[in-house]
Amino acid sequence: MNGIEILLDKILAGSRIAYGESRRQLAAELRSHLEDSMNEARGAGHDDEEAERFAIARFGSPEPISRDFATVYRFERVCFYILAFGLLSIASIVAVAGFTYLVQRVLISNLGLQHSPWCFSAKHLESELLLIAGIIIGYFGLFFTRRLFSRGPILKAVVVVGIMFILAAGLLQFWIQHCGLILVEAYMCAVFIGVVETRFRQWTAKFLLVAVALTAFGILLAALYHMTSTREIMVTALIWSTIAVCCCGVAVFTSLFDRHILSQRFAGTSVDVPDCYRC
Amino acid sequence: MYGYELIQEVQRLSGQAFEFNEGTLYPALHQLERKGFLRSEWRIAKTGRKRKYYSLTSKGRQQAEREQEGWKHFTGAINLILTSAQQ
Repeated sequence: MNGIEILLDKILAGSRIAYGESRRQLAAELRSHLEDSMNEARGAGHDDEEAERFAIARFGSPEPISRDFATVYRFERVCFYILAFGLLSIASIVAVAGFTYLVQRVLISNLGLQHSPWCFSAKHLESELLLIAGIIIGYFGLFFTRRLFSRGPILKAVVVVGIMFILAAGLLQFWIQHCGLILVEAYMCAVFIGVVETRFRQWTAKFLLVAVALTAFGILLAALYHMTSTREIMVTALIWSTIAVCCCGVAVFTSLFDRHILSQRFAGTSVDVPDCYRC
Repeated sequence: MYGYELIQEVQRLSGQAFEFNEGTLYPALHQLERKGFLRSEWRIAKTGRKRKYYSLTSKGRQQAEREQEGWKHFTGAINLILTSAQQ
């Protein structure tokens, strides 16, 4: 990679422009400028290496330029995050809720717990869906919100998303009793998953920690909600551990999405200028 | 005009008075385009190279006139102060 390409790469990576076409056009435009500048230097008698150095020096440091571009293209970036957040959340909620329901059906009938009709009651399924939706929305909320801050991103994201959750929980509690509390519980789980994901490297450790902690949390809540029979607690533990494992699966998928789509999209190296923009 | 041409023109008209990092021009051009003051199009130059040309929109022209008025007013006021101070 020559000096010009390195400079373009830094500018495009820092600009965090979400859409490929805008990035390609910008790369072509800046490259055209740098080539003009090099031609001017060549015309003044400099060799290729000197001309490149001259063009780069005149163009200026890439950091302030990319920062300015990041400001110009902020709206698109936020729109892209919102779209990705919405699509990922909906897909994950459907997948996790569906899988949890399936596991619940299979396990409970195989474990001889079919006399637990409460766990298939509309009220329980509703609460379960709200819990899953809350965990996933909270998790993705933290995932995308922390990208908006450069200093202390995790703490700031926890506070911002937390405020939204508290407001939503307040409204929901007013509307349907107990639902607000479920949302608060879900957010606590989401924060835990988010923190574990950023603090631990090994996926086995993440899976184990999240599964054990969320199952324990579920049993604690079951005890708080006065579930005293062993059968009920066992079912609750099963449901929570399934949700925990599914959420870890979502975290793995998100990590892959981050590595292969988000990071690639915002990295400078993804700039591939088609011939139609080449000089 | 395309970006490089614009910089050359500014330097020529100002008698090389303005020296700035050339790259800083582009975020400003993109910002003005997004605000609707400029429009851009890719054209093939006489040399056969593709370049992005910018031109003022009617909204941009009106804004430029307003800015020019504002600038004249500002420099006029500064000149008055300087003249008074010298007297």
